[in-house]
Amino acid sequence: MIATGSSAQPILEVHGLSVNVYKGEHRVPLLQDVSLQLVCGETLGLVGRSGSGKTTLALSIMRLLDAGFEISSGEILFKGQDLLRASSSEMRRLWGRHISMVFQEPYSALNPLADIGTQIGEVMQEHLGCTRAQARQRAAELLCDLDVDQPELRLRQYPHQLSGGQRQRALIAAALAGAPEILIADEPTTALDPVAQIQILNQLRDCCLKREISLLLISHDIPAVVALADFVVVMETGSIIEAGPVAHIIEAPMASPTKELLQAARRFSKSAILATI
Amino acid sequence: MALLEVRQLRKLFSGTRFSRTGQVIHAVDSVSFEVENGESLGVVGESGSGKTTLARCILRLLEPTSGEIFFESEDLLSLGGGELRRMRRKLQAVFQDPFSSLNPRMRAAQIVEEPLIIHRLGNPQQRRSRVEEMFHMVGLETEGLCRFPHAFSAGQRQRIALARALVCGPSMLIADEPLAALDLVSQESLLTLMERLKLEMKISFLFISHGVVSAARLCERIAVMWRGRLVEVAPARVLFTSPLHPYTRALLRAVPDLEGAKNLRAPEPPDRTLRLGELYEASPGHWVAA
Ligand SMILES: Nc1ncnc2c1ncn2[C@@H]1O[C@H](COP(=O)(O)OP(=O)(O)OP(=O)(O)O)[C@@H](O)[C@H]1O
Ligand SMILES: Nc1ncnc2c1ncn2[C@@H]1O[C@H](COP(=O)(O)OP(=O)(O)OP(=O)(O)O)[C@@H](O)[C@H]1O
Ligand SMILES: [Mg+2]
Ligand SMILES: [Mg+2]
Repeated sequence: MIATGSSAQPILEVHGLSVNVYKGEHRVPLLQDVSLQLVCGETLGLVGRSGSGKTTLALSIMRLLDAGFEISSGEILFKGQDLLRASSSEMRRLWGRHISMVFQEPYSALNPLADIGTQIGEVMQEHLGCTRAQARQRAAELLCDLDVDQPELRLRQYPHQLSGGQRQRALIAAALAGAPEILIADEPTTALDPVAQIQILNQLRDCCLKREISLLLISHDIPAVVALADFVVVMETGSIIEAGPVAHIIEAPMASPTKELLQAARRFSKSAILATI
Repeated sequence: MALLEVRQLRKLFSGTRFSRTGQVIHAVDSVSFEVENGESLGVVGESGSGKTTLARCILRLLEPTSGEIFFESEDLLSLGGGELRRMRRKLQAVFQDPFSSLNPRMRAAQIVEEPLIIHRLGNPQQRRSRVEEMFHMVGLETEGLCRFPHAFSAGQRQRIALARALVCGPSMLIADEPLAALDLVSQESLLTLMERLKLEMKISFLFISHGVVSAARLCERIAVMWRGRLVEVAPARVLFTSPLHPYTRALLRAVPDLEGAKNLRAPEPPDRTLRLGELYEASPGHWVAA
């Protein structure tokens, strides 16, 4: 893998990861020999076509793949410790507090039967020794930082009572609540309007800088990746096809899928649209 | 008469499930608009401004607090069960959270076939080939026909939802963020597909999206929602070239651009206490809240 700098200290390293899923006798490869590293305090952008395996990679790191999946080779090192060998109780200790994730589909990631305050507060009660009242207080502050209107009301609401964007922000708040060292954000802004997107990306960036969180940002939104990431990795059908510093990839993409994604991003710009409508 | 006409629609929610405080949320407030036959209307706006609630009211998944909705000249709010089912064939939807709207215990092929069975269309062979046709149309490989929803990526699930909505040839499709889970190359191909459906099958779209640019590509007109209200309605080009309402201006300034993406400067949205008046026609076809 390409290093991001000589003195850079990786907090997370994936080496030669291959993941398959079995369909009866049939073995379908989903990830093939994937390697990457997330440098401490930096943001790594992960982009690629829909279905290329980004979520599968994220869930492998979290050790949250379903039973039907098989990790056939590779290692995933968190500060040198191989997560693939970690026990489930060890993983539970890491989730939320050391590594947390903003899941791609907010509605299915939230528990329909618990109110929002409980879900954001959970990790603080479990890992940070907060009382329920302290956790809810902090949860309201987190929602407020994420520009959710009427945060106190939201704490008492259930997922189905929130709009798509409110749910997504609640999920981001829940992932940040435990002050993790690594945040994996899988399409964290898909349900937000453009104004809110900028606000939330700013919040994410500031929050990661302030608390030295290393961010793995998975996004179809190339401008968002450009704004936040130091380094970018491009995936295509389960393999990494290109990686490099963000400015480099934007200015001189090598692989054709990368070029296609960038060209499409340019066609979706304001100036381009005015020329066509 | 217009294909879809919404008049003075309002939907209030009490704030929480067991509301003690009696806090009321005005999710949709006095919204009126029309969509002509074959025309498409984009609905963009602030997150939480009532777009999904509006869609759910039109689909009769929520009972509006007040207002009227006409579809193909019929008063939707007065229809009973059987009539509503008949209407649903013509008025289809793709929801914002595709995963939660796809039955996890049904295979992709069954999910797409189900509307044909409900509306008693075709025999099993015809249905089967129609389902395969739909799979091709939305860019899914038929190899996935027998898989369950969880075995697809988020973007692929959105395509399944789209295939299901289109399978029995609706005259209008209400699509709530149908492209949000897709990369831009896939977004373009689905937009092209929808443009084709518009031209060839005369489908009208009510296209709800945070992607203002996508909305402009597909829709002749765009409506902007803010805090439960429509604040501006205009032909797509007019909206981009001469936005009038302060929220629309902030929204357009925030549309991402690859060049200059590094400086994340959020435009200042208008003060939330700004009073909103009725829409008036500032120039022909360009409406804005006073
Ligand atoms: N159980 C399964 N059986 C067969 N294929 C599967 C299964 N689960 C996932 N896949 C396939 O694995 C591939 C990778 O899926 P993944 O969710 O990781 O993609 P992604 O890059 O996150 O896409 P998106 O951008 O749409 O979220 C997809 O092509 C999907 O169809
Ligand atoms: N069942 C419900 N009970 C209480 N409040 C609700 C309910 N459904 C929606 N709301 C509230 O109504 C408002 C509008 O929500 P809606 O989902 O329509 O917004 P939206 O425009 O679709 O937003 P987004 O772009 O984030 O999806 C929000 O403040 C939301 O919290
Ligand atoms: Mg994904
Ligand atoms: Mg919505």
